[in-house]
Amino acid sequence: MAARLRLDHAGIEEMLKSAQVAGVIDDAAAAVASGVSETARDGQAIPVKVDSYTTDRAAAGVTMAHPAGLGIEAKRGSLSRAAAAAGLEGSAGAEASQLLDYVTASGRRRKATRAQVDNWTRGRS
Amino acid sequence: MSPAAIRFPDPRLAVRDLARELLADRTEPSALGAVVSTKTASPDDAKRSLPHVHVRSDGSFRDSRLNGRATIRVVVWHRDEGLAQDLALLLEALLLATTSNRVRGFSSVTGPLPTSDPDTGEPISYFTLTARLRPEQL
Repeated sequence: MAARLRLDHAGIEEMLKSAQVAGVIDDAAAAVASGVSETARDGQAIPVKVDSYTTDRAAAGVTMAHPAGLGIEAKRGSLSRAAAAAGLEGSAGAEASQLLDYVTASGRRRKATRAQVDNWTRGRS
Repeated sequence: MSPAAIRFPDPRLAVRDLARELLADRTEPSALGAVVSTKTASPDDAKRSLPHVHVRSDGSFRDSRLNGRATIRVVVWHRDEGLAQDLALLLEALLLATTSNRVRGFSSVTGPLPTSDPDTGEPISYFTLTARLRPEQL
């Protein structure tokens, strides 16, 4: 007999927003930030900021907070290489973090990523 | 019997060669005369040839014997910001639609984003892709 699997979406969301998961994310972001050491043309050290936030899950961003930050990332890949050294692989972050309005089968409206919507609606016409 | 040894290609060389092939026949003004290299653009004006496309790998990942990937960053130096961005957009589109005997395919990660060279102030544009590498049995 085929088993029926029902995901506890509310439970999964609660877990992804929990302090424990946020702590793991913050540790990973701190590891990336500590791997970045850049200086601007004028010799000033580039400040590296970590911002923790919550979408449908705990998240964190690492930023070179300087006008030259984007150019340094373009030319040297400082953040990208620090992330790889911390065992993190780049993904389509901007796309993944963009939340869509999704109406569930029961009519409930909720925010979801494109990947979540694709997963929930797979096989439907 | 021990399992077969599997290796993956050097992602920088694989993507550099692919980019050279893809740009060779393009007639868009931004692509004419483009040099594709694993080396950065020379800061020396006398040696400089624009447009210059720099291909490098920011990390390689292997989560099973047959599944290898690399984060590839492509930086475009050009005569002005518009041309740099145009060539970056063109090359990203071409790479996302192609495959080779060393790369199974690409996924977009970031960009193309226009910015400036932090050392010289010249216009550049860059984008990042994930390259899914083709395994090779030794």
